[in-house]
Amino acid sequence: MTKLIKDGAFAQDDFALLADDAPLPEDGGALVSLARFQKERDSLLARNAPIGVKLQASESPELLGVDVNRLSLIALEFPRFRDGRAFSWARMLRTRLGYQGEVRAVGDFLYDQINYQHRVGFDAWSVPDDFTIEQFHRALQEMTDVYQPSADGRKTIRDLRALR
Amino acid sequence: MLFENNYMILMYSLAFAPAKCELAPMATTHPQMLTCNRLRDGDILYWKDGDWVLFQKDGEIFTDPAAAEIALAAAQKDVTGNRIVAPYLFDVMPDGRPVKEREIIRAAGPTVQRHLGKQARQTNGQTT
Amino acid sequence: MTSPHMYRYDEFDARFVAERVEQFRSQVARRLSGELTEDQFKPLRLMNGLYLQLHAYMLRIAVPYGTLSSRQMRKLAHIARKYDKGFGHFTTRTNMQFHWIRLVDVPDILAELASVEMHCIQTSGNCVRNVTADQFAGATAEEIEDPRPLCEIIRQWSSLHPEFVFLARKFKIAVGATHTDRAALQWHDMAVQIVRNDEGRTGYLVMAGGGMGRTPYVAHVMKEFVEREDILAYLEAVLRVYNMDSRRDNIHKQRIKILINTIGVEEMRRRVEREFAELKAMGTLQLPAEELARITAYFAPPKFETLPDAMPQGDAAFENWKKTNIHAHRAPGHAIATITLKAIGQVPGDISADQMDAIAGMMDAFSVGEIRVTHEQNLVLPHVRQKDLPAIFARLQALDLATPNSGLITDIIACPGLDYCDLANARSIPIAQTIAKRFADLDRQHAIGELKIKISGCINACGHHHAGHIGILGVDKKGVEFYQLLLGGSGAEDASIGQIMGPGFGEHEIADAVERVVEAYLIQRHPGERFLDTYRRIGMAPFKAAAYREMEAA
Repeated sequence: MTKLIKDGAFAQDDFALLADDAPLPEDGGALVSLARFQKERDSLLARNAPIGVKLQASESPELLGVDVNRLSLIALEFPRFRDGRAFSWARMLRTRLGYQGEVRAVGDFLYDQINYQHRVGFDAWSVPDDFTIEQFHRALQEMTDVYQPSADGRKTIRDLRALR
Repeated sequence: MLFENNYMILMYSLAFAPAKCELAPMATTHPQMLTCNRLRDGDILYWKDGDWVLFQKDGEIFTDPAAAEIALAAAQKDVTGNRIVAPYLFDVMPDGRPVKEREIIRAAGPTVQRHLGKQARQTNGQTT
Repeated sequence: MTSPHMYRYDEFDARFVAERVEQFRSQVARRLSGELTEDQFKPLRLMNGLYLQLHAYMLRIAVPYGTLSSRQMRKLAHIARKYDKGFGHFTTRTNMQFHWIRLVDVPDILAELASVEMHCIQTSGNCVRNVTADQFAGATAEEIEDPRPLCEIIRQWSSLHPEFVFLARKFKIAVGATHTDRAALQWHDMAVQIVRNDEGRTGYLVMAGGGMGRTPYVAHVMKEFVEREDILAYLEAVLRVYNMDSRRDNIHKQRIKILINTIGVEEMRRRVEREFAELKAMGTLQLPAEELARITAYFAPPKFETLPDAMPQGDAAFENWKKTNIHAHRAPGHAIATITLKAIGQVPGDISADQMDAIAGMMDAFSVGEIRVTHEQNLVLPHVRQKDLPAIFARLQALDLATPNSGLITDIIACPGLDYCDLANARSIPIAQTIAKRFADLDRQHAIGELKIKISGCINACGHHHAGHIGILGVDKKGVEFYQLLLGGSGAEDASIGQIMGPGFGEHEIADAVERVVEAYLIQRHPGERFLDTYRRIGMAPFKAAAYREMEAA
């Protein structure tokens, strides 16, 4: 079982992850696959409830086309923690696509990847039940400074040097 | 038991002379030993009677593949116990000498520096 | 004691490595407690250069662009003594490896390294690895400029880059600034060649898709000229396309060379241009001239003494050493001195703690406290005075480090192989030793001339066998070590992939085969031709006939 961390704290998950053939709930957020979204786009967007898409590691957010900013949630899957494509997808969502909704990390990822995920634009994490919020915050604090810019817009070491 | 089964199969196939029947030659299985790396220092260890020893010559030789598999399964407790990593079975000759060059080197040390590795260490009943 | 002319950490760099050490200390503790399984821990330890090998753990220490200070060399000697067995090994990526390391000691080793501005960050793992350069950087008149400031900029930009620490595979970058390629640029995943355009402006040619291993490739040019301020944006664009588009389903098809050869160079360029245009528009990766100048200042060359060009003469041993191990320096009266770690019969690339300490003293006495590591597992004192060469030679002789064989047939590159490496199929070091002993006669070596033998113990090609004039690949043929011969590879500016000759040779046959190949060269060569030139002119057939001739007779 998993629980949701959002904006630095445990949060209620308002989305139901739906199989491709599962009926849509009456209300509440619906999280569907890209394939289903592409097939049922109109009816999904017509719902008076939040819609989210879960992208597999091989699926670029650009496949969402112009609809990307109509989604309240985009979940990016890590099928194996070694598969780092989602880092680029998150970064793409925040920069090229200007996406401002929730970008959630789901699947198999390590505590040690959380800081990188945070930098490239993830703001929500689906974590195991025994994961603590202290662990989450510790993950973000292990390295004080960063050398390179990323989607988080954080000042880099070069910026800090210039401020001296 | 295995040989008797193969004999029966042979007799059966000859009696009924079906389309060409290919019998696989009876597999020769080497005896095996169980090895791993110790987690904290990477040292090479060998299974013996439910525990691990430092030197390959002191390790247990399994002539029965089933016993080898039982030992490999038992070794998992030391994996989950974070004592060892990557246990696996490897082939040895009946006298215990490893079949593969890799295991010979792993047991002894580098061939190009004979003063390093286990080949150079004391062998007086040293255990982990 | 002199201060080296290289990058020095400021408080940000120092804190970065210190925090990285503590992070790894915590990861080791979590591994020992079982909070991390081995499967989870493995990528984390790899990104700190820690392998589990055939006898113990192996730790790979980064030597950025092959440059070390005497202080750092002394620290490596100390680590060799305290935590290992009194020696270390220089690799084909100019890093240092220790082969007898305990996991529990690694956090302390990393702390010791951090105290001298060293680290093991990203020396393994599926991330950007150590950035390498010409070992003569800053000392040769050939270069447009010193490539190392750009290497340092790339090093910082790629360190724990959040988007690129879980790439499909490793990613190796090199930077060059001379026509003569001493850093094997075209064999890298990505390389930058510093160039001048027709308007006289300095910029960067970027190539990508080189790589060794199961399917070797030489790099393609991605862009002929990238403006200085755009270089990080372009490099990031290439990495982004690689991270997004590489396969993840077959570990043997996940290097960038496979991606480029699958989609084609044109398509790769198109995809990179798209990312590049976006990054340029964003401006966040722009490299300002002031920043390049600031980093470049760290590498400002020492004030060379005004001296006449006057190469000292000496006895036959000294003259032989000069013939191969001394190269011209850009400042008159100075020289570049190569120290080969290839004493006949010794382990290629290995160096003892005592030798490291002695060399540190020589660095201070003769080379402004600085040394370079080459991708051919040798060392270079970059800035020595010609008049000091006799004293340098004498000290090297006393250390068994004066082997006069730089670039000759006994200057063999060999990976650790099955004697040490968990991935290996065959031993490589004893092959190198046997061949070196076979060709030990110096007159014979000079008669043969430049001939680079490179030996790998498995297809991962850490011995760079694809780039050997004669390459040797160790394979496992039904439990027996066999050795395939390859001919005609090159890691220089004339990069080429070695051609496999045919069936392999046994452990006791390979040196004979090499000898017959060399003899065939000596018979067939035209005046002035190196082995590589003769091979390129006459092809494989005569060498193959020679190599297998005695096999058939037997």
